[in-house]
Amino acid sequence: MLINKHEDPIGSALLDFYQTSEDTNIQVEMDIAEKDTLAPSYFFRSFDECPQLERVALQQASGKVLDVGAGAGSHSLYLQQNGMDVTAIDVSPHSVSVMQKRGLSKVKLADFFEFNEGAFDTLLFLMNGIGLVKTLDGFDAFFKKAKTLLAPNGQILLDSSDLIYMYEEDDGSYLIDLNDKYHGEVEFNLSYKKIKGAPFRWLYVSEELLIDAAQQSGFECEIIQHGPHYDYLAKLTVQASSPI
Amino acid sequence: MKKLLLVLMLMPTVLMASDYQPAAGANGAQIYREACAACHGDDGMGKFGLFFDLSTSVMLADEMKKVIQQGGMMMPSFANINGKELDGLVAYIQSLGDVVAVKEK
Repeated sequence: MLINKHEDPIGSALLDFYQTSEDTNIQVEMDIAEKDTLAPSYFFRSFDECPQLERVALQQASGKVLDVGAGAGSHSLYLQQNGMDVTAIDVSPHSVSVMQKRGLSKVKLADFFEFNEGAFDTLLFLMNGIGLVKTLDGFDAFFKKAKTLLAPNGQILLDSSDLIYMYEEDDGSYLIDLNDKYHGEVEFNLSYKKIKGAPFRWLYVSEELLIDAAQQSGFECEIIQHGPHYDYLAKLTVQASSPI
Repeated sequence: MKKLLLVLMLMPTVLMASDYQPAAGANGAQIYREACAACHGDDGMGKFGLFFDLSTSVMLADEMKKVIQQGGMMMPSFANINGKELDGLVAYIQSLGDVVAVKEK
């Protein structure tokens, strides 16, 4: 589902930053964590300023690339500047406008689940872009959709992290209510100045559960690299025996 | 409640050494701008919700010097900042807290 342009806090913040260098923070509320902020400037990072997992992902991206949830388009710009064929999509109208202004040649205002154009060699979901599945149950629809967008031998590259650290006790043990929802399912409420976004759910998934979900849908999942804080980069490909 | 890391860490956990070399006689503000502001922000209040807020730091000058020279949890070491330059930088960082305190009044 696309975001209404009047309820687009991230996009509005990115547009302000792009046009005026105003770096007013996006306010982030979560059901499982303390309030926090995100600086719009962070979305305009260069390759060298990207966390290591993102840099590895950009180096692994190959062929025709679809950057899903591209935001300010920094990853796509890097790929385009390196001569790659990259299409950036986002559900945020103002983010799409920023990407167009930054000179990305292929930008679409589109929801991944409704996007039908072309077959891609790489689907890129960085900055926990896989969160768009919302819950663990969302993986089934995600992988079905991904298969329709992937070229033969194509790959999905995504980073995520295991939020188990949110539940660590002082003695190093973890306290989790197993009857509750999965600990990586987070409800977000974002705002920027007076602009409030609609609340949305976003998934952070552990390596083990991602691998399980991938296998159930006929994908191989390889953890390419671990990050410094429960985070990782994964590469997913369609299993050879799986019908596309 | 705890903090959720909204963005991935920019630095690997292994400590890295910075080869930054301040110009001879550079003042604290200049060194801060060149070596520190990228992570700690222009006003020392941290950035990206990750990096240490210097403006509220209660570290003593000697402790601060040690962290600058040897690195911190996520911070690279800046072994080339020493002597007068290091004194100037620490004095400048300590002054950041004052500015913020005044602003809040």
